Amino acid sequence: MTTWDQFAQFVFSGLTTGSIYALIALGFCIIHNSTGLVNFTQVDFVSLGGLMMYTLFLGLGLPLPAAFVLGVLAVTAVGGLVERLTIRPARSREITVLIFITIGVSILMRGLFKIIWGKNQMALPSFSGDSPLIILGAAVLPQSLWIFVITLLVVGLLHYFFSRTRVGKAMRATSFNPRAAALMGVDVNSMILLSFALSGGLGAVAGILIVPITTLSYDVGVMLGLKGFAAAILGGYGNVVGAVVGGLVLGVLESIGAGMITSTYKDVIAFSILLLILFFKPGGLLGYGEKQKV
Amino acid sequence: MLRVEKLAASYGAIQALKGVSLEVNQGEIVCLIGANGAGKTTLLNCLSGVHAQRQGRLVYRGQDISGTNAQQRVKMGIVQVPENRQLFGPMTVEENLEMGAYLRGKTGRVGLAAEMEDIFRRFPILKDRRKQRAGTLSGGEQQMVAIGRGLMANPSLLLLDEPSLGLAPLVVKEIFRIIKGLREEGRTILLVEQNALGALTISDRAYVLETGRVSLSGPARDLMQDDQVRRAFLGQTVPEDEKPRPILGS
Repeated sequence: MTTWDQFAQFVFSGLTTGSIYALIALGFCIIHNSTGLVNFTQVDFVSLGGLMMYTLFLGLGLPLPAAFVLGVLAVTAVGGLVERLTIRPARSREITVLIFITIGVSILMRGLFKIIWGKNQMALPSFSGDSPLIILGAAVLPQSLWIFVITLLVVGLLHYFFSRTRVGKAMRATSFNPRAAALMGVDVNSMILLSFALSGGLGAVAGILIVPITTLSYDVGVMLGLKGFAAAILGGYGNVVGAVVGGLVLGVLESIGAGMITSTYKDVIAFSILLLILFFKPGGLLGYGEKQKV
Repeated sequence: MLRVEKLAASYGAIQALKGVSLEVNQGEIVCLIGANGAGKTTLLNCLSGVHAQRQGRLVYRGQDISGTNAQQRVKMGIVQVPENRQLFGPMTVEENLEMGAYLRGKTGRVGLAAEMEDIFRRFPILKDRRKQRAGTLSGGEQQMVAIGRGLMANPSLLLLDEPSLGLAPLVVKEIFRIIKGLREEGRTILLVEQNALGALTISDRAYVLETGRVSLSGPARDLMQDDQVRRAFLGQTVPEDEKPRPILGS
């Protein structure tokens, strides 16, 4: 294997995990934009996506596309429930209090997953076999291609939703100025509910796509979710384009770092990147910086 | 058209409105003047349903609307153009206008295009700026977007909160001319202003709000002659171009 081939290999595998980070980062962003919160249950949406897929596809024997869609819808509903049952009834509107609520709910959800699905490792088959394709000298798993294509599709749909549809625009308007949005007749609470549901769906897509490559456990989303969080910060927290760029950049850097140095330090490399960004460019790669916080 | 009866509202422990009663008739421009903290904005927010009222009744077209929410009020035609414009800064001018028609969403793109043309006819400058981010416009242009956005909801009763705030004198004149034009179209306007002279000049009737109470009311022309108003808001002894210092209330 030449160095170039190796490099291509790292880039492809980096883009694969990077796409997953991007999806998770998008979930963090959307909730941040509607509420100003960091929602820690995002990591459990990822786990739950994988777990639901396991039950629907292997347990109930549904066809793969049906299991995929149902799994995503189920976690979308759970996302909505998290908002409706834990965030909205909270007496406090203090951001830190609400963030702590999401941490509590996250721990609770993980406990429930452990009871329902057990502590053992599970495995899901890839969507379409495991024989790698050779692209530009790199061996690429078919699952990676699924990940690219579906991530691209999801990002495209999100872009369409936020820039073309009435409700999508209302969500953006609410994130920029909730008071003015309310004066235009936008139901701000519904927008927040919707943002949690959307983030649940995005987390689920990420979880369902990645578990055939990794393995599945009740807490598989925790490390992935933290990387997604790092990706969101890397791109500029709250910036939707930044989330995608941040995810891909983090995935590729992590993969190259792990390949060139040692894969033992893969996570160390990812979080070192995060620390460096926080030290030198706290607004993130595409961040607006503090002054944009109107 | 609108009757406010003994309206009370508070911010936490601070009582901002202590039983305000006023009336706005169809086709009138009614202005509400008063110093900072007199409760003018709170009153408008109660009317828009975004601030909870503690007591009192709001009667709109003969119906008690006290229990309705912000969405219902917009649907009924009560629309507020908030203080400091409150645009969606990173969104384009066009998107801001579209948001004004949010609850009329079902008219579709074709229906909305006609509404949009109507706004551009009133404010031709906005047509050139329609793809520009609203936050990058000048103050006067932003105020036009804010008024345009309000008009997109097709209001019968337009609540304008300090539309002249922070604008150059020439632009202020233009804004007041626009407001007068809106009345000629048959819209009813409740105007909140610190620029008392400008507001009284175009209004039919006026109320003076002082620390949460109506202290004076009457035809705008009479109020302009009122000694108390002249001293407090029109800065009788102060040169024209200097901002009158409100001494009523506080």
